[in-house]
Amino acid sequence: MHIAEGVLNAPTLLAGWGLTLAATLVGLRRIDPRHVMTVAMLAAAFFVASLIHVPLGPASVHLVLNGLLGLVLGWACFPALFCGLLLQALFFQYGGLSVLGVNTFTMAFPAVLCGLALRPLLLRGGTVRAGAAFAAGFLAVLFSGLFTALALAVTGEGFLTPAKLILAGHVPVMVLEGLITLFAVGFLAKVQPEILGLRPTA
Amino acid sequence: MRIARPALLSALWLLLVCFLATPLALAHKVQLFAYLEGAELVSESGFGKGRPCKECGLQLLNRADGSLLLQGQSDAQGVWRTALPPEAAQCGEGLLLVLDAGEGHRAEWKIAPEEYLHLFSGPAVPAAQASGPTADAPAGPLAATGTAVDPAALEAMVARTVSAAVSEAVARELAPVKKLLLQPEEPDWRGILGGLGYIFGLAGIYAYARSRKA
Repeated sequence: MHIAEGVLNAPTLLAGWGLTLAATLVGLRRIDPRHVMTVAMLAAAFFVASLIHVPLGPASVHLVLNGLLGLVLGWACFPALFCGLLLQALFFQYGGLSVLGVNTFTMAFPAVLCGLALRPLLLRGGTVRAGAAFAAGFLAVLFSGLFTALALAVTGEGFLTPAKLILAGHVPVMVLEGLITLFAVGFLAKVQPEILGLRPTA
Repeated sequence: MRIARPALLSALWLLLVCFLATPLALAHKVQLFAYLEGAELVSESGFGKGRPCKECGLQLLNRADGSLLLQGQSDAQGVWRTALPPEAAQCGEGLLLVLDAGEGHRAEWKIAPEEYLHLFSGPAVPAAQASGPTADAPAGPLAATGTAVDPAALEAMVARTVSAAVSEAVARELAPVKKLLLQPEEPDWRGILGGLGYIFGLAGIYAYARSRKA
């Protein structure tokens, strides 16, 4: 879902940068200094996750992990994803520097939305927690795809065709991400429940 | 310590993912490179090893003004072969090949004038052949009267033929070498470690800055 350089028009790029910078500043303030390492680890996981390719016929899709980041970090996922994407652009030329604003927004904003909506459900425990974790992984990728298609549409590539292609291609990734988020949340709930806002268990 | 162990576990998990990721690490962006094989432009596009960009739109542009010279589509192997259009002879600043794979995937490849301009200027006549009012003798020494064979003209024709044959053979042999040289790099260990290093470095700087404020 990284949009490459030279695809979007200038107003879209500027809008992306404006939104991302504003949200990143908000996110930076929200980082609890005691949990900086958590932010760093999740940013690192995102950085590496995008290298894991899910083969899918003619298309090429990769893991995103933005659902997990949104659940754990909330608004702080903006600076985390911004750094991850910036380094991917510099080291691997994924995406691009001019389009970094848009790419960050399309991945981080859905993550924040899912985090805000679903994190409270994690407190319930049991099936509700599992369902919320899966939904976070699944929906974050879904909405990222929609926002990517929207960015392409605003530039003039039409909305329906890229939207259908992106969503169709990413359905396996959505399911896989849902599962990964599910297991990650289960793991974190046992070893470090505080970062999910849960009470420590003994 | 309770805090250290989960952090260590997470770090180990992350390291494991890195080890697993590198063999699976396949490029996500669409890659394009092109070279000339004789008088043919060959372009190859894909998403990394073994995943060609099938039926992706390609455009050949004049770099000087962005005007479109030729359009085409890659085949099932991600390859597009085309003869250079005659307009390319006027493109002194180079050509630009643009690939649009849809869904926001786009790539460019620049072709320098030195790679193709010589194709339009005709075969070279060896310097030894200095005499003669006209440098071109297309009729050949065996044409027209069919009487005495002009040794100088014969030599020129042989030289031209050999030169053309050698150029073609060299181009054919060099094509795979050029392709190897032009292959874009796949994400590798250095990139991953570099990125991870920066992430933790930035986090450290941030933590330091915040600790100083408090």
